[in-house]
Amino acid sequence: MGGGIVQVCAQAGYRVVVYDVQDAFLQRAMDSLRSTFGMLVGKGKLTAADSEATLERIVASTDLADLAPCQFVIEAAPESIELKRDLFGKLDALCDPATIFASNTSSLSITAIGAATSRPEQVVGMHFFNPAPLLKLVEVVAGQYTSAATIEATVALARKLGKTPVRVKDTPGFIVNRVARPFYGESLRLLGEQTADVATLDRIIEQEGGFRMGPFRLMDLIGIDINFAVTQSVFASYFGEARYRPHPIQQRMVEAGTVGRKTGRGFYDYREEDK
Amino acid sequence: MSRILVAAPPVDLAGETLAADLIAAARAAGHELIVYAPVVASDPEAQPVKISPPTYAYLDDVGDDRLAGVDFALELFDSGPRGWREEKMGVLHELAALPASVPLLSLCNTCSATEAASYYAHSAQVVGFACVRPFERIKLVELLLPLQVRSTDYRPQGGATTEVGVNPNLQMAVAFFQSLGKETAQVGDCVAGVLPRIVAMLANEATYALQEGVATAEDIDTAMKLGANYPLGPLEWADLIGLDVVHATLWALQAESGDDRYRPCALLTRMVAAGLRGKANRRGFYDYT
Repeated sequence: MGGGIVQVCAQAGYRVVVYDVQDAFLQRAMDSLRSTFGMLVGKGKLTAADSEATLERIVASTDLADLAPCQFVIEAAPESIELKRDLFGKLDALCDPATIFASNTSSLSITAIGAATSRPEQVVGMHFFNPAPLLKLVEVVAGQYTSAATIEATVALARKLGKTPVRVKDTPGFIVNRVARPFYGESLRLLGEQTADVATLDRIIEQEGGFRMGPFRLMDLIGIDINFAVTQSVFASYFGEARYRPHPIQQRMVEAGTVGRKTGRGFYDYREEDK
Repeated sequence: MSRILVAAPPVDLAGETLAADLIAAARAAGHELIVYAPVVASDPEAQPVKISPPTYAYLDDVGDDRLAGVDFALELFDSGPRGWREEKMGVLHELAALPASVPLLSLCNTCSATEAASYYAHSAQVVGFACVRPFERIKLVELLLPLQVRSTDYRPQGGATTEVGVNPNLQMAVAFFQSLGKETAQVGDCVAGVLPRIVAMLANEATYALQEGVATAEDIDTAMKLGANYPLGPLEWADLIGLDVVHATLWALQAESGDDRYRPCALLTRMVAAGLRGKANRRGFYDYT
């Protein structure tokens, strides 16, 4: 996800410093960006000169101190609260007091991240959706003590990146990952009650509802294990609220090791078409 | 084309109800409709559905000869401004005057087909159906058979889907919706079928988020459309379906299952109490005035 955010920022004309813990990771990210731009140039969606200029705006580094001159930091590290708190704690000492810290977390508390710094009013959520260069939405999340000025600056930045920002209060799952829970939860219940089989449920939801993809096809694509983990996280965050209760079918699929497309089998069988 | 006795709620809601959608679609497809609007004791002020040409009648006025020529009855009570249960029970009770051979298609967005059939004298003639609004947007309607239908006609769903006998009323329902340009899918009997239940739950969750101040109604809808590719935002969708219908769906799911996950959000309950029904009366999560 970090690579997509770097691409979006650099293409919008910002100078970007990319930090990662290993040179190999940075190398891979830059290679991937070059190939993306090469493809865009090939399709005529980007001129060679623009591609070159955009890549020149990006500097890669494994030294956190190189982030010191940045006015805005967007973190897309793995989803571990300890890791993020540690990272922002260090950045707090390195960066200008006016610098805004944004986290791309989809599930962790912005308030908890802000509390690890001396500037919780300048810590904000900036949740992009995958793939970041294509999807327009950015959830701008206000932690307990995030200031209105920080929210407005983040909303303005998201707009400059060509995104559609929505303002969200720091609550588990924010908007999308929370409001979407019943799409999976009710579908799993309908399956569990033998109301219809997987293919019929998907057909109804796609043809009657106009959803691009039915819930079972979508869970297979996301990964049943990932979807189950998000469900459990929201369920735990709301202290066992019945609306977010996971379903035993999810657990059974994870136990079986058939968690969707990436394993060749999930609610549907992809082994034939993958041959 | 069929001659259909339509039992519809006696309220004019500017066409923004599923009953109005279905009456318009059936009429456009060339069916002959005898629109029967029962007198509902709880709602003496209610106006009849405005349709053209006006063929609105009370069952006593329809006449035995015309009743005998009816191919099937279509009962469209999915809710009511002052308690849908009494209205639905009342109309299904009155429809007992129909000949026992006449099939009945019952709208099951706020109950199961089995419950609807339990209020009807010729219960084995019932086929339930469920779908969301707006009707012109959808390509498919769900059909549900009540438990009262003879067991050889009952088709269990899920893993055990097999053709174990053909129900002629089911075939009639398939043909009717085909004439309106819709596909059908049979599902096991339950409250509100598949999609009306899922959309009601999405709308309920979005209402909780709104009540808790997580975001504005506009931002919640925008987020679901752009971030999760939903065809409509859950709150604008609830306005189209009708907040009273969404509320009644949740209420019925909670009543049948006893499961706390279906309890309607207090804000939704209060909006319905305040008479905010959505697009139908131009006030819901959004203002349409």
